[in-house]
Amino acid sequence: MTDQPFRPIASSLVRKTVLLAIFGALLVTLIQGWLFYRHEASQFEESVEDIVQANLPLLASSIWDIEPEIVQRQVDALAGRQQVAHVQVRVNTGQVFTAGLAKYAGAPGLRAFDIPYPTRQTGRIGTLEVTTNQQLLHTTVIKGLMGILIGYFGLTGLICLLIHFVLRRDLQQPMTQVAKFATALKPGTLTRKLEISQRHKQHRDEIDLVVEGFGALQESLNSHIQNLDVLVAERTGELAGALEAIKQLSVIDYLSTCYNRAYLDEKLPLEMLRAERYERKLSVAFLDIDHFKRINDTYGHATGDEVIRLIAKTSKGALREGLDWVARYGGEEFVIVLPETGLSEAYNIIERLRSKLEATVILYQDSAIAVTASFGIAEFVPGENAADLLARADAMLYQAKQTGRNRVCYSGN
Amino acid sequence: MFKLFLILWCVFFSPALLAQSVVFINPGKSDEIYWVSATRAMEAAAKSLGMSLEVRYAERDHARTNDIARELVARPVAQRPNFVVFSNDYATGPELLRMFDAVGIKVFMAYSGISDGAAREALGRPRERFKGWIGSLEPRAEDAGYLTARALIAQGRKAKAHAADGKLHMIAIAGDRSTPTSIYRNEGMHRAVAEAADVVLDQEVYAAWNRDKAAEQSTWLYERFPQARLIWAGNDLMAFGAMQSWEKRGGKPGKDGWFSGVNTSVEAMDNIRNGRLSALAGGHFITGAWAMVMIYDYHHGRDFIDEGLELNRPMFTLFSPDDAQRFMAYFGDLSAFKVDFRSYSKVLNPKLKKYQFGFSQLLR
Repeated sequence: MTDQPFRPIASSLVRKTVLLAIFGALLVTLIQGWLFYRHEASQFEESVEDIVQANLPLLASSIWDIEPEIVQRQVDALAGRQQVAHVQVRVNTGQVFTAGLAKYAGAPGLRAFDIPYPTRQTGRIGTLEVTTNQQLLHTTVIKGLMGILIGYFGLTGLICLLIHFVLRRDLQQPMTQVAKFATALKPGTLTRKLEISQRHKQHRDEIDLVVEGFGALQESLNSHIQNLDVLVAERTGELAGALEAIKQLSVIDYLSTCYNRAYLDEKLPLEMLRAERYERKLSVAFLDIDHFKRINDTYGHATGDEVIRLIAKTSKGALREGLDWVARYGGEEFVIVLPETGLSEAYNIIERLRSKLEATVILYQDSAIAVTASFGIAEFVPGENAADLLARADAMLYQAKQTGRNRVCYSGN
Repeated sequence: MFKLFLILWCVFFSPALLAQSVVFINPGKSDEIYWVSATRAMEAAAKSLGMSLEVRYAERDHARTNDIARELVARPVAQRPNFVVFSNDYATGPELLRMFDAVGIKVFMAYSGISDGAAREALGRPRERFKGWIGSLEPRAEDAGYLTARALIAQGRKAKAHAADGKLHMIAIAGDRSTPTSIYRNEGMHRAVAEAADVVLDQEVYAAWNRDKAAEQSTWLYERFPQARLIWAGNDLMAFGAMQSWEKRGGKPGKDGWFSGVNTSVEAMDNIRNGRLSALAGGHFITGAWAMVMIYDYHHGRDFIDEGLELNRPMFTLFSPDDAQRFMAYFGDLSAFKVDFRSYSKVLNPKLKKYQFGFSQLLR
């Protein structure tokens, strides 16, 4: 949004039209005025000429016949014509007849005519001096120009009015409606159609093109949004998957695919809390791989990794799905959590696991490596924390290690 | 029935037993010397012959002429005149004739009669269509123009007033274009000019018998024709006007410019005697008086039909300074002319075979 002030198209157009009209008017006035003046001036001259010529014969004969009253009457009549401001007749024998206001005599527009002898062709018996009424000429020209200008500006005014009203109805209002519509448009209301009021016309015009364009825009936006929704759903799915993966990564020990220490630290207290709240049993077992360092040193780390993988897999296989879970506690240690399980039942499960492990071997080149583990079990006692529980299980593990490895110890044993 | 006839006879003939009555519709103004003279002459004739004369002035207004006629016609029969005498000035004649003839008043035209043309076609000759129109008497107006122009030219020759081109230049100030009197006088003037090989008429203007207008017009003419020395005027007033403007320019009428006029006013007579006016013709005011004589004779059984019905007779005479003096003696007193007209009546002078209407005989 710019900071420019709002000015309707119609007023802009009207303004330009008026300027053009003024310029045109000046031009018209100059040219037409000059032409008109020329024309009127020559008409004027002609009419004065006609008046004089019409009067000359009678004037001539009344001067010849020496009828001063008639001469004066004629002179008065001449001066009475609107084109004539002042008349003077000078007779050869010295008499002068005048009519009209003296102030006009001799002004620009003085025309002199010979009064001929009525009896013969040549010579004159007097002169007729006529001062034309220049004011009349000017007035006529100005009136004519005024007429032209009034008509011209009248027309211009009408045109401006027309522009104003037509533009307002056919352009401004529809455009304003389009603008309002566009502003109010939201992704959720995209399907609402743009309706322009007062569009009862037989032809399409640019406004209709805009409306149609808007419809097309809305449609494509709409379908795009729908596509996007699908895309978003896909991505969300992918993202969820990625998140899940990440989440998994964050709780899973990469090598063993068991839960990691962090998970144990977070989840075990929760299991214990649940067991306490619902008064259920809970047992944990420490698993430590026997002679792990020696396997690593002897057969390499790759074999060591494989051992760990084997332990993890076997452990998970021996446990109850969906209930028990295994977390890798350290390099060679695992913690097995057994919810809903008391000590004796826990012992059965773990013992079974031990014997399974014992029966498993890893092949390395031509050798078969025996893999065993030692176990320590402790049952949850309400009121204790995770560290305590693990410490007791760890103590049992220690006992198992001390008493020959590849066995299961529990408190009370 | 007989009683009616008797009454009618009395009505028609009783006026004849009384003195016959004449009304003269004078076309001129009651202060115009010429027309007053005309009235006085007619009054002298009426007195001489025992006729009753009533004079009404139209003051040179032809509408008034009609009004007077209408008034006369509207009078009760007993008060109507036997005869009406009028002048066909400004073509008023036909209208008046019709009016009077319709009620049986006899009409005699004096001074100006009917000229040829539309009036003639409408009216015909006396006693034809209009039985009451007994005749007309006109002075031969052409004489006035001719005599004065000829005398003027003679004067100019005597004074050697020729211009550089060897010609005498004349300007004419006439009365009007429509009155027959004016027309005929002009014709007389033109005839005199035509007869003179050494005279050029520069221009003829019309001053309506008016002194001031003649003065104005002559001012222009003197500028226009600086060579003109002879100024012919159709009547006395116009001559005086021309002389006035001549004097205004520093001229001396009779010495460096010569003037002629027509009429027998006192002023004219004076100017003839003092030489300012070079030629004067007149006497035609007597026409009305001659008409009275003719009417008297007609009424008393001596018709003038043997001399014609429309008489056009020489009456004008040229006045020499002596004539002027004599004129003043007989006709100078405008309150009444002491002229006896009885010797001119055929009824009273049976030996008289033909009327003599010349004016000069009255100056003896």
